[in-house]
Amino acid sequence: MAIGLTRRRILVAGVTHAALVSIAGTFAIAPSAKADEQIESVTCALPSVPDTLFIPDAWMTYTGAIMSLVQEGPLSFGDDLALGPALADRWEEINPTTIKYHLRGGIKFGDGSPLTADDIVATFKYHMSPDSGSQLASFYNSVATVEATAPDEVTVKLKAPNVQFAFTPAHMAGFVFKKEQLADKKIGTPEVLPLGTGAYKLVEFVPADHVLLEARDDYWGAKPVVKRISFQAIPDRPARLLAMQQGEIDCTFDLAISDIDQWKALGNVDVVAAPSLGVYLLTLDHSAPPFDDIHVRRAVAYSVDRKGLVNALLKGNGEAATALNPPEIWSGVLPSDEVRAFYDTLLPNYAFDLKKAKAELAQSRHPDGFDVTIPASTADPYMVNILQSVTENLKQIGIRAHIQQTDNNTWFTNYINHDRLGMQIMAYYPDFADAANYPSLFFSSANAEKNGMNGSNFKNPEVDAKLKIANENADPKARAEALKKVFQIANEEVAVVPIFWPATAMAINKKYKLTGYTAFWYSIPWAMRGFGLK
Amino acid sequence: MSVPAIGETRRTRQPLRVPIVILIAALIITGVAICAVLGERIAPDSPFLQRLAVGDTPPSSVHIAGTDLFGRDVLSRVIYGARTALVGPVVVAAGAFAIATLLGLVSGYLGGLVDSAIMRWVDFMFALPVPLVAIVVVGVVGGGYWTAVLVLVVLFTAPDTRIVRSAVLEQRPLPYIDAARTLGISKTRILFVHILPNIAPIILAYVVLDFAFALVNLAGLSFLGLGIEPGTPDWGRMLFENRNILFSNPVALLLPAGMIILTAVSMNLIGDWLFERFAK
Amino acid sequence: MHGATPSTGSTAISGRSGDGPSLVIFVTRRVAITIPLLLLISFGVFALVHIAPGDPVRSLLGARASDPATLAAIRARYHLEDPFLVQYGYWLWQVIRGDLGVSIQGNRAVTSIIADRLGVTIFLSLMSTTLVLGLGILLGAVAAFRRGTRLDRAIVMFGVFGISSPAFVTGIFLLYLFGVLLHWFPIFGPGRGFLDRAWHLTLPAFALAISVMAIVVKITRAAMIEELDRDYVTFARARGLSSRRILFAYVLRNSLIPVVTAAGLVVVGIVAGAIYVEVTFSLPGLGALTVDAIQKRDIPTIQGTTLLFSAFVLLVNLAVDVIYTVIDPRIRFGRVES
Repeated sequence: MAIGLTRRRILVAGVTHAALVSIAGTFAIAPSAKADEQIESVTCALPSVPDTLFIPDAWMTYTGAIMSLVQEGPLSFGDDLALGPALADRWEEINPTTIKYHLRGGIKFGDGSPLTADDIVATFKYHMSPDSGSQLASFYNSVATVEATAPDEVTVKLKAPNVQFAFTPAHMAGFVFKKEQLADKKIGTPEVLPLGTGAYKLVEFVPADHVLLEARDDYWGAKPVVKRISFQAIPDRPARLLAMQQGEIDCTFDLAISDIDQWKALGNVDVVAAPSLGVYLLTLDHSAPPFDDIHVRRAVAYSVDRKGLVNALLKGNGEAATALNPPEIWSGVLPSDEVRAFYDTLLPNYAFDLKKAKAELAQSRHPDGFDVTIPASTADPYMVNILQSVTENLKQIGIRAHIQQTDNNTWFTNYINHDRLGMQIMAYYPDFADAANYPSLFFSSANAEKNGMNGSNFKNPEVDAKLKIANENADPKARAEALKKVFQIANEEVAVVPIFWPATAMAINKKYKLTGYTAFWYSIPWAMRGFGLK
Repeated sequence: MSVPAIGETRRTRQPLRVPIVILIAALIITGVAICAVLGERIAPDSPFLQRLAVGDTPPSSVHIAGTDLFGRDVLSRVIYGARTALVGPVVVAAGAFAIATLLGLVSGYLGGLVDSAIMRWVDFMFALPVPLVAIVVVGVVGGGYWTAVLVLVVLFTAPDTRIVRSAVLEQRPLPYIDAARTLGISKTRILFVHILPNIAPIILAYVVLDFAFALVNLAGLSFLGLGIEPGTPDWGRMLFENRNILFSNPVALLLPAGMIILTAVSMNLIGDWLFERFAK
Repeated sequence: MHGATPSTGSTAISGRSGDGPSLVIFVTRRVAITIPLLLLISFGVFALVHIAPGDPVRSLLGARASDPATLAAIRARYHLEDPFLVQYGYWLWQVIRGDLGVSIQGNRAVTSIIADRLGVTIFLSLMSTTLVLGLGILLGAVAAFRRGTRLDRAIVMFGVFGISSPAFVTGIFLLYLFGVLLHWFPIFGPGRGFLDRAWHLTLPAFALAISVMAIVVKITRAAMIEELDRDYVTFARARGLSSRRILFAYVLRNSLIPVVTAAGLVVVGIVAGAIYVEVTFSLPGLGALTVDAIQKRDIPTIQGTTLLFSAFVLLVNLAVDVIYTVIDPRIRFGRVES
């Protein structure tokens, strides 16, 4: 039912690639409206409200949309998606495996009790403990120890250098709980609402139905503009649209982009969109027939009408993907216009062309086509629809392709187990922006096995060597060169068939504005980022 | 589904006069059947041809019922969709009653242990909420349209068996059976040659009613995204897919919904009429 | 909600009280049949874990991190190393003690999730049952009294229409007409507090009722027609009793007996319809929970809701049979067979 589900579930297979990247980026946040512009209350719809508000048990974008207003991590993402301070006013890398976080003083939880370094340590340790069964445990795979080295200082020691961990304190995996609450088995239920240091506190929670938040007077940061925020679950897409039209809700997140024209047509509504940094792709198993044949892979690559799909499914709110990485995810390595220029030079260019597809298939060892069944998760709003188009095109060149609809778990388990992969469809959304993230996941031979994301079983020694450079060298120029080579080889070999990079969108009543909407809307306190009256 | 009216006055067998409503209903079913058989030849356009650049559009002179998300012609898909709309329910109704007739005849005529065993099973199945079980089994097992059809066949068998059995029980004490028995005719022969023709009308009436119920149930499964393979032109599946374009092309939703209702209403009317006319 | 005929209300579940005229014996037997049925259903529900394609551990674990400790915990909790029937025994024992396991999403006990959702579904079901019975009996009675007229035909047509339109189609239609065009009713959510909830659930309750009402309309109508043709009615009329008095005192009362037997069908219809209606109207009830759990293959939750729904239907059928035996003396004297 939700794109968020896919997004969250996928990262289960955490990857570890040693890296040393400068983590001190520029930190920009859109200013909130002026304090005198107080708004009494705002109602937001979500496609679902979780059954528990305890993030380790309910790692979903919708939990994040609520809890990012209540809880904070030591760090935070800015509007430019770069890391910035939050509970920690500064942090430093003592060496590639040691990071120190220095806490801001005087921060209080929603119940008035002070935040201590122990709370942060307890939170991290909770995720790391095998007994807790935290869904975010993989983000802490690389952590050796976490300690309170001073009343206002937390020191994390890594097992090995790892660029991914730098981002962990900023997204949901880093949201800090009060130590005493973590021991309570009932945390997250209406009886024990999680406390946080954020601008809002939880007042009411009816699982799967609604949540009520109230602004705190004793918040350490800027004064919240909205006094009360309520979240209402409206799973049905048309019903959400109607509710918005009637003015019963003021905003809603995670619009299905296919519906975006209907939302825009409402008149009283603004649609706010941003690149999601996500990517949809097909993987083709290089290790077994028929996709071990380059001509078959190229035939498939030519059969995907990317522009058509962007138009029909995304209504133009996204981009036809010419490669795995969306241009924006290269930030810090290459500016996105240079990325696009580079993508244009990739050869061959697999623009939609059924004639070329037929010709490639004729050259292959399977000129008469073959049967293939592609599993797709019904929880994702686009997968099944993308495949409806792809299978129809494949049928025209003689490949008899069928869609097998499954629930999200079955689909993902099948993918991650690398059991008879054939052709698969994948949707991937990042939790942080790093250019080496996707290529490492999908192109490295280390991940071409069970519990790895490389569903194509693509193995190439040169790619592995270049990825090592991209992951370990701090120099953006060296990383850019290495990654460019990776993408050239991947394109030539059809390591994956990229489909599109969708936008993410939310709708908001015209009375209001939200300038700080980004790909990571579920990890940042959105109501504190440029939300206010117009 | 429908519960046939009870206690209607027993009309003496008059020459067959068919009410106008039933004629219209029969005409509708004939129309749907023609669409199912001739599909591609009647449809103004290929039901599979995608025009991604066009996308979902409201009705126009080119596409009378507009297009769906993939730019496919909605009218052609509805015409073509008559096929799955008929085939599944026909298989369910016919299959369930074929099994039920066998069980019901055996159970009703033989009685004793066989009867008890069959009826205990029927009691059990009867206590299940059919649509819920269908949703759960198809949802958990997966496997598409034919799984759904199979599940419905199994679930429908139980109530149908009970109907056949009651009908047989009504026949058993009648003089002609006694006569046949005295003549030494074999049990099998009595069952199939003598009893079956006499209860055939009631079975036919229920087959038609079952058809309507199966149609609505299969559409329900498709509506939840279970059952049929995506891309197949199927009325229920169209409801599921086109719900999200309710505002850009409402016809894409209303037309298949209307067809489901129209077909089910027609079948229910015909079934009720058959029941009242012949089964009393 | 299947077209099985309770014709003259003979049996909802054939009770075989023919050889036991005593009410107590009948009820005892009836209960005795229900228990194995419940066990059978629970067995089917338990088997879901193993019917589901793939590894049972995966089904029970969902997407939670599959480190050895968690896997071992799941295996131990469900006794997956034991033979199938032993597993079932353990599971059943847990269910009997009110433990339905843990949802694979959110790590919450299935029982508490169900408890959260139960209120909406009960409210919705009661509201539509009231509508089905109230309106259904009224319409059925009116149709019987005006037999053969346009009104009668219109009512019968309405019934056929209701039963032929899937609840979700009726739902979308009502939502669009009364929610969007006329603004009479809210379009989402279950409301808070009694009156607000009743207001929020009006459209869903109607959508649900329409799809089930035909059963009651038809049975009431047929039974009334049968009663009206009886000698005592003609006799009473001849004695000059007013027709309103006849209607309420005798005809309606006697006609309601078959309606009671149809209660089983009505309940099945409402339970099944609730699933679709809750999805259409975005209501956080048990039906929506079931569909959501199916879409996420949350087997423990599916087991919980399915068990609850089925047990409920079974118990209602039991209650109906007992009530029926109590109110209709004929049954006690062996008319049940056939």
